[in-house]
Amino acid sequence: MPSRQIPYGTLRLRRSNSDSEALLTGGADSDRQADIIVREMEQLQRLMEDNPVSEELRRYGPKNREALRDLPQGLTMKRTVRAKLSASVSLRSKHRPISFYKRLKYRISFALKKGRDRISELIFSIEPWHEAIRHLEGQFGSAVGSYFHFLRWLFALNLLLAILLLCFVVVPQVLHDQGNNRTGSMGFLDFVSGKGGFEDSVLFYGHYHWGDVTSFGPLTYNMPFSYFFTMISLYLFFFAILCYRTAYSYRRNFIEIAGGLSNVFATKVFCGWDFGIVSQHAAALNASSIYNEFKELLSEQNKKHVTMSLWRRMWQYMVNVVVTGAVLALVAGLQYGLWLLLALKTEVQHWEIFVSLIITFVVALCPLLFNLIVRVEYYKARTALYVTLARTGLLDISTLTMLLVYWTQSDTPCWESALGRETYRLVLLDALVSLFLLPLVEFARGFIFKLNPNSGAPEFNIAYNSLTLVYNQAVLWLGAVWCPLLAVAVALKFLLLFYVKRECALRACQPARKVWRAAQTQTVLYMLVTLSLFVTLFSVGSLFLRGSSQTCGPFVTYTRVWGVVSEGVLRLPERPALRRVLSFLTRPGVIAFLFLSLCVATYFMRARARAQRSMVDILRRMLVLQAKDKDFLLAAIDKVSNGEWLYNPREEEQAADSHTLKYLQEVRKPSNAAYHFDVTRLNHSMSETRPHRADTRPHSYHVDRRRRSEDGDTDSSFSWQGSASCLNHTKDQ
Amino acid sequence: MGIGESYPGLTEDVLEDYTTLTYLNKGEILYLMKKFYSIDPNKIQNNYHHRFEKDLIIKKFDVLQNNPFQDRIFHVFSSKNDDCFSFEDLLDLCSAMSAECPTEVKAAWAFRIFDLDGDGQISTGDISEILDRLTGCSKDRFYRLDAESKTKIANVILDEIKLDNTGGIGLNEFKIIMSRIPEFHSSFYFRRPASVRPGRKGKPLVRPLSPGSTTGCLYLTWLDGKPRYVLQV
Repeated sequence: MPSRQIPYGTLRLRRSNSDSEALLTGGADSDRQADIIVREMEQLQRLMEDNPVSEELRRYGPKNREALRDLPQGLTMKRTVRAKLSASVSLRSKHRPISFYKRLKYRISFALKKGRDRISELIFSIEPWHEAIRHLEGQFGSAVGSYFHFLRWLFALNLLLAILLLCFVVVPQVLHDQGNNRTGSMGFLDFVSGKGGFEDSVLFYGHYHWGDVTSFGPLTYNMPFSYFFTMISLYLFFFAILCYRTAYSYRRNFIEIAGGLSNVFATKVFCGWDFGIVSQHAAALNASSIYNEFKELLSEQNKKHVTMSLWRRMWQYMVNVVVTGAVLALVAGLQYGLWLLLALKTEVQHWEIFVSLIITFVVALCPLLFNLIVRVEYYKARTALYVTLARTGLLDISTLTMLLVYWTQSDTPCWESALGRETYRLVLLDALVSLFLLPLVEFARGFIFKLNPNSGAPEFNIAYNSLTLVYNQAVLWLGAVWCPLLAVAVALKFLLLFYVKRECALRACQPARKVWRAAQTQTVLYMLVTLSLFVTLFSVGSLFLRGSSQTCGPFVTYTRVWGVVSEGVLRLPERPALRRVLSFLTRPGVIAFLFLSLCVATYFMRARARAQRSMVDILRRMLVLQAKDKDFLLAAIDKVSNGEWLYNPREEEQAADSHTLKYLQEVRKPSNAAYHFDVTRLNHSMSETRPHRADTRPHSYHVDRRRRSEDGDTDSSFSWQGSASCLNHTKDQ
Repeated sequence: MGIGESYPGLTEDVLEDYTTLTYLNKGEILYLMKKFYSIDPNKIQNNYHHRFEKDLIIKKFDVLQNNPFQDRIFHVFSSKNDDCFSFEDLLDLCSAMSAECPTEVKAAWAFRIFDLDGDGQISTGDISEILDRLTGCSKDRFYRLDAESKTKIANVILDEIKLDNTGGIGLNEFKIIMSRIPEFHSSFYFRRPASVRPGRKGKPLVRPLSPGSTTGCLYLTWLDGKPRYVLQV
């Protein structure tokens, strides 16, 4: 058999071909089909452990549920299979006492599974906008749906953040404020810039109380502790959620398809049709886009594949490098220019609003600019998209970092509030642009299209809108520490954004002509959000270690913000022993050691991943060979059932004299050496030789087999064929 | 509880059974039952396993209307192969098309749908007809690939998948291919219908459906494998 020629036959495919069997016997009676399926499932050993707890597992447990649920059969068939399974197991079960520990373990895992189901039911029942997104998907395809899905996920995240911040930080402060009066002007420009009367309000960091808050009765609420710990724990919690989501998305969309099809035809044929389309117009567009793509692919296929010369490749590479360098220089130049603008001492009132407006416009227009730039370069379409996303992400993060550095370096008395004000202004002005200006532009374009149908149809620009979401989220991560109410503002903004974008899409846009690769782009977007949170965590953490301003905010009583933990909670000044331990742990030597062990762990993981990748390759090749095996065996079975067994048992030959020949003949003998090829058995041979067949029936094959060997892989050249029997022979003779 | 009783035959343990055996959860199953029941309540009350005709199902569940593989869907998911759906067949369909369904199970169902002649293989002829159906939903007849292109595409696809030389794609190869294409999961999927929240006084709360695309006009669609004019109501 083909697969036995390689010494890789160690792993056996556990999953048998029950599906293909059941399929192939599709015309057969359903009871027989159920029997086949049950037989296959019985081979899964874990299900058939005989003890009473696994019976319970089998009935309700996760493994059984998954095995039954994964059957690609109808509900009636599944019920029959389940009935047969429990019938067959009750026949085989023996009662054996099992340990208390195991029973407890099974009960706990079962209860956990039930709990998780209930939570997912709960989340499902409060899902907002479900019908709206479904309607959009029906009209525009699942790619646009994925954008709204992303928007909804971010909205839920921000809402949770807002609620927690309100409960733990804002409400106590408001209670504390009840006695005081509000002063300062509250004009419109003050509202936009966050100065004046708003400066010393619940909005910003500077206003928060530095001591205990007592409002009702004898209970006190320590503001600095709550502010610090709420912020830290919320950030870490959301970081964990984002990491998990990004890793899941990455694994699903990048790793599992590694080594995937280089040929896109199969993708287009089998995955080209979006089964979620509802409207007839979208279906027509889908059909025409599929047609166009096939035309393009065919013409590419037909073109003579010219391998590019070395010069041309080098030229393309050079162009890419130069343009990337130019873009980086552009970004750096922008940052420098913005810095100069900020530092400019002018007499213009409300200069900050002007600067924030400039920043907003820069961030809004640069993605379009990058889109144009990337066309000059020589990238494949998907790589071009990722490059644009990466550049825009770089621009956003560097702008925000620049703002952070500027305000911390400046000498304003309460720089935290100043930073909070900056982020507040950014969010507000971006709301102006994306909630008012952009929809106007979209509607104008839609209107022009209606008047003049020959111009290009306005499509919903998924990339640009997703980047807006990522930018807003990055601003929120930066600003939430210094301006707790920003979370509420951004949540509200996303809520409005959903409805505004929905109206834009429905009224002013047409379904896209080209198919958009939603799955992998989603991963890149999640990665960008996680990256922005990581950068924020890093920079805010280092700021906390540096020092807090002494004039405002909840941390005035501590020289460094970190003092909340070291002095407030752990009371290090009073515990010299603990302080010595902690200072030892934070020495550079210890940190370096931890870092080194992290590097070693990373290297180990990487080596393991590489080994597993090559294992996947081996398994893939094994699959190919197993399929060839199946072919071979099916053909052989065919032939045998036609009576065409081509081999006759050979007569015993004289035992050889020399030991070497004996060794070759007895020990290292392939299993079919007892047979020789018999031409008379061929169906198409002379008809007069037919009668001879009667005396050489296939059953003699079984007699010989029993005598020969008890080994496993007898037809591999590596097997040790009956060495004991060889000795027996020599003894006899 | 209140909701189970309003649909005869859908008791609590039957519902529990459905949640174990499919990828849907209770809210989704209840909403599907509500829609299914509203086609003709009397027939369901008399016989829980009543099978509705294809046209009635399509009218109610608009996501099946413009699908070029509509007839195949009805053939594959119908348990008695009579092109009619009972409630359980509908559940099978929505479960296979839901987001929680793993790619392998989807691939197994998709194989049956794409195997247009039912011979257990997706052969060149199958692929050609699939291409016809994919490009055939457009408004102009102009969008059709010629026979030579179709054969070429089929050959390219079969060459890539050289697992066995039976001249077609078998179920296992199809599953392997689909597990390597990330878009398959999102294309072979329609968003589940909205859930039913248990409201006060045991009455289910259902979010209203947003208005469909066009009503009261004549449009061209695939029905029984042939293009037909249908009036949208």
